[in-house]
Amino acid sequence: MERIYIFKRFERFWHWAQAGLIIFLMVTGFEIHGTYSAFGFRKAVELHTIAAWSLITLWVFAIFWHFTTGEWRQYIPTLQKVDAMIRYYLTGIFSNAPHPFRQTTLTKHNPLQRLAYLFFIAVISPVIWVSGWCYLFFDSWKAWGLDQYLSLQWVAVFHTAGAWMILAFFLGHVYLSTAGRTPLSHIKAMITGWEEVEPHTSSGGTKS
Amino acid sequence: MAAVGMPFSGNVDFIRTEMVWPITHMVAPKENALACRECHVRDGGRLAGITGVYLPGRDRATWLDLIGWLAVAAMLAGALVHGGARIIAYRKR
Repeated sequence: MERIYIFKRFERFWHWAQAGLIIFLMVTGFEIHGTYSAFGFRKAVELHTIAAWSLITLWVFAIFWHFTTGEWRQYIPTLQKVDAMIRYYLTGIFSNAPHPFRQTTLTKHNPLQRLAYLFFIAVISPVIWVSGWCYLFFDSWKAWGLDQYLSLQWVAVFHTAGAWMILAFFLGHVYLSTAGRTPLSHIKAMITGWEEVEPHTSSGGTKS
Repeated sequence: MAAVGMPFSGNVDFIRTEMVWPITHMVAPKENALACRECHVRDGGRLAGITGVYLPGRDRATWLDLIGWLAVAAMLAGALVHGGARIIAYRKR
């Protein structure tokens, strides 16, 4: 087994702070939606707004970090080995087959992860953020001339759709985090930064 | 001025006055001021019967919520089935 330092300090902080904020946004968001009562409508709105601005702030740092360190390259989508990944999750994982993807510091995400995160960045995030800002600045629509184009009902539908997508993603993400070498290995890696991987075989083993 | 039989000087001006008016209703203390939840609730709110306006907390696209719940249920079921199968497969080895 080889230990590699795969998640840097800021990255781990970003991950857990983002997770906490997104969970809190879902809890307050579904209360605003009327699904249940917890903080009370007014408090839920206030807390949801504060959490949203906090998450934007966090993302400004995260985007800066990804850009300056070059880590954005880790998210470039690829279809290479996606079929092998799908086969692994459908059958291989049950027979303890070797994982088709080898994690390295330059390729920390497997191809399916890259596609999932691409969907999150390109679809889910824009939907939730754009609709959220429209919602937040509802009182200014008329002054900005937006009341000709926007309806609160449709802003709400898009924002709710984004929320359901994030909730579904969250459940899949938490479950798949247990699909590492051991059920806790990925979670430990996101806490300590270190992951244990198969040693690199010079005779050309499985190259990602 | 003719009504009271007094001469009219021809000058008009403003004068400061103070009046006390009774009101016909009470003003509630601030703790009882209208709360958000009075209207922004699914059922029984003050604006429950009002149509033509979207009220967050009262209104929703029920079709979207159905799809959402189904997606969530599918994810949970998938995780349970897949995870369960992994546990069983592990125990067999």
